[in-house]
Amino acid sequence: MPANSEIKKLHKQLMKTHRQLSRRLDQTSDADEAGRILREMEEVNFRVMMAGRLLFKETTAAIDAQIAKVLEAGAELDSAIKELERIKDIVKGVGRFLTLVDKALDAAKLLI
Amino acid sequence: MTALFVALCVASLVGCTAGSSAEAIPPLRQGVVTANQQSQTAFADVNAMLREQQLDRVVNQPTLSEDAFFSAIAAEELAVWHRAFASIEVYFGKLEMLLSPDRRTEVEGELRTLGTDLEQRYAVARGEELPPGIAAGFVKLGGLLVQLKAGQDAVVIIRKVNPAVQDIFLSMAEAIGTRDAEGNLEGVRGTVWTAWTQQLGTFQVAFLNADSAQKRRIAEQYLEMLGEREAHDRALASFRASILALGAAHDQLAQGDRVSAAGLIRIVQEEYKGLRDEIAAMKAAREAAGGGQ
Repeated sequence: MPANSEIKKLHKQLMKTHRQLSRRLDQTSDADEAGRILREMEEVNFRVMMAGRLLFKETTAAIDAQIAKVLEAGAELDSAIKELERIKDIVKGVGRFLTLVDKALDAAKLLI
Repeated sequence: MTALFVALCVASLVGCTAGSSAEAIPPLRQGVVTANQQSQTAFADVNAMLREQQLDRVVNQPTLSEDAFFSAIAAEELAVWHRAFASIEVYFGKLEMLLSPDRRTEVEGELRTLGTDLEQRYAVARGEELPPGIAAGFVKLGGLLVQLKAGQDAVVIIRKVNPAVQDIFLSMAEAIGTRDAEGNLEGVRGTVWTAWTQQLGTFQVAFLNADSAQKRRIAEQYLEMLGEREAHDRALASFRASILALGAAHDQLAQGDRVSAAGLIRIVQEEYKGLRDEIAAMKAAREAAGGGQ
């Protein structure tokens, strides 16, 4: 059996969200906006590290179900990052997404 | 890409400068020792890099707490990888004896004992300490070694255990990571690539805040860091290639081919060394230039 497939999906989703934010940063010429995007990227990057650490731990069905919800939210967020005009809305969306991510990661960490 | 590289190496070495199968084992054992060193160095590098990111993040947090810091690859995991490579080295040592006609009787019993040991040790480790695929591979290898029959042909034995050995090496390679179907990195390489992208972002923001005189310098630093990101990834890819090369060499032994394992392992080791030198040179250049933003 290779890596834990649910945590692997979460790890991939977080990296994808980070890439989306990075692309948005590439297109931003406003320094304040860029700074705010970078802070959000920093928070996502932190979760990428955490999920990476848990990549090979076994999880439970309950955690897997929680991760499935996170993945759904992540896919919605990725579209929003591309479409939303106001950075404020992106920051809000990332915040909501990371709250879900943290719940799943906290549950997975308890199994270490 | 890496798999192709390993395949090409193996293909180019089969049939040239070949010795007997037993002669191929000492360089293979050396390859395992080097891969073990590579794992410790590569993971320590990863931890150091990610620790810097955690420090960068914490200055933007309202509070300072220990939750903000963790090793991306924990010390106990480093120890487990070390033990896994040590187990493989012991296995290769027994193979060397098995392939030497004068020592094979004594080693048949030792292989079965090693099999029992691996089965017991890694059944406990399963899902706890090691990536599950690696632990499962060791359990499978142990089970096969226990079942060995006296007087069996050495190549038949190697062929029989080969799938388990391949599982171990492939699971290790997967932990390091490769590109998915969309070209994005996974595993440890994905984490490290993302961390570098984060670092690059600090230069992008600094660029927007800079006057035109500063912009060129920031752009130069950004460019240097792009190279560093590539180099760090290539170093991890080389470590992965070493693991795959060990698997490929075992596979050649199982086919009864006379592969020059020494040449194969040397190629990977040299590439790894070259890339580490490259990273060190780039880090030194950045530090000399003042580093940071």
